[in-house]
Amino acid sequence: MARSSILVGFNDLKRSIVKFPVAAAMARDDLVIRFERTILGPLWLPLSNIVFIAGLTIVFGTLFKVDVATYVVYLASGLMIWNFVSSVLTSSPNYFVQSQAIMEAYALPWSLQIIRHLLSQIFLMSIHFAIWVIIALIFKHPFTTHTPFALLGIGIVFVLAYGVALTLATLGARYRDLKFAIESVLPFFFLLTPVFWRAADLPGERPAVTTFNPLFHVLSIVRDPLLNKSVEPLSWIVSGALAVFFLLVGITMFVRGRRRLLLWM
Amino acid sequence: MTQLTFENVSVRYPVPLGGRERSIVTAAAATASFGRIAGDVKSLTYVEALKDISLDFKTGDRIGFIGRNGSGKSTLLKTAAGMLAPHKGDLKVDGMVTAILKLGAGVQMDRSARRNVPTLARLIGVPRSEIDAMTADLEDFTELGPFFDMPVRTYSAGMVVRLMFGALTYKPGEILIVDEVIGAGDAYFIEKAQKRAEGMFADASLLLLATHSGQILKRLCTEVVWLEGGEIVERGDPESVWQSFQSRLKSVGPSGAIK
Repeated sequence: MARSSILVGFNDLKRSIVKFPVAAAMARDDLVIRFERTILGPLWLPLSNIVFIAGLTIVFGTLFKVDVATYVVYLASGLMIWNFVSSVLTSSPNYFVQSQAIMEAYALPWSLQIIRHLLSQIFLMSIHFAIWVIIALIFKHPFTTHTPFALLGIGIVFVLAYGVALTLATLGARYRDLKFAIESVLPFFFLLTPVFWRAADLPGERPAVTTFNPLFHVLSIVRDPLLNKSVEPLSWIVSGALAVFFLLVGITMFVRGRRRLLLWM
Repeated sequence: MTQLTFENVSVRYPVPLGGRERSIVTAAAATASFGRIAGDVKSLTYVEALKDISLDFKTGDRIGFIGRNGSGKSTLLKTAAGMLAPHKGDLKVDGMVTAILKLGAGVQMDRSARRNVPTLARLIGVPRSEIDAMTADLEDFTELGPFFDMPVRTYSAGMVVRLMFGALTYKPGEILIVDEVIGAGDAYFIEKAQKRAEGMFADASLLLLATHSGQILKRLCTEVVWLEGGEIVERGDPESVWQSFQSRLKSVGPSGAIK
């Protein structure tokens, strides 16, 4: 492969950082337009989230006889991260495909589209986070010295999301069934990962479902600090390694695949 | 010094004939089975849209590209704009490129031209402090009158062209690449576009334009390249190349072999 096209790819990534404000403005426009003609606007999203949390709390509160206050704080924090991770996984294969018109029309770096769509997702997650804070206040959940570690966790999750999105968006332009393949396996992982059930309630010492499930570790680095637990070193290591790995894979894929990106769309 | 050079450039498009070539499931199966299952998806069909093109343009050139549908005009422009990478050959671009290939991208159809100016300014990299100046310039250039404050979805095709052309050429790069789009404008608009383009050439630039209109060609271009099947048939002054293109079209019909 020509060296010049690799340079073009790196240059694209570099320029996308410089043009960050443009991505932020585009993300804001996307959200405004999405909700412009609805009464509740972006409040529709937390509403569906609150209904889901309430439903699960009623079912599991009754079924497992767990303490409602503990459970609802646990569930809301887990769902916040799960929703972010799963929407990035299912939407990112389309990031380039759905932005083709803009990519063809303006001299903007193509990887800017990744930042644009991720920022939308981050905004939606911040709404879910606000809900968690409200729930935590209502149920008198204490904030301790553990809580700030959630920021470090969320930082790692964002880096991981960027790497994953760059990888999947590049692959998704070439392989159009990638989105469907991811969508079909995600519910399986939702059931397998302790989001609405707790690993501590499982019998036995240390269930494999937590040790060997990368999604569990990614959830833990944000959720554990919020629940005033210290994060297991294994979770930091796995999540950090995943973030670095996908960042490298994503950059490599994009830099190599950029020259052929538009040919496939 | 603005410069654009094609050195033996070939561009090809992969042509997925069915869903299988675009499936990650099939691709995974083919890789995992060392090609024993669905191995055929690894060999794709390609269409060669540009074949071994060598061209050299410099400051002040205004090149028109003509040719029938599918002759490679748009592919050549997209390649020059850096959107498609040549699969063979080399492309050298020296200068900022503004490409007007598809219009309407990024415009919010439910909003007026006026309300779209900040959005467009952002997309083309005009700083926020210049938005008022850009709005005034656009209002004057597009001559949309009351439509300037009406939703873009109520515009005719020609009006969208005026808006987009005006916005994209507000601060053009040294190399301006324009696909057939401006054909939707009327004769009066073409004249305005010409004036604007000429103004831009004061700053030493280069125009690449694809068109089906002899009128636009003769007005805007200093040189014409006639493409057919991804190859150059003729290159020369607008009048004579357009004449031979027309007479050849008459003799072979719309789908006959040119060469």
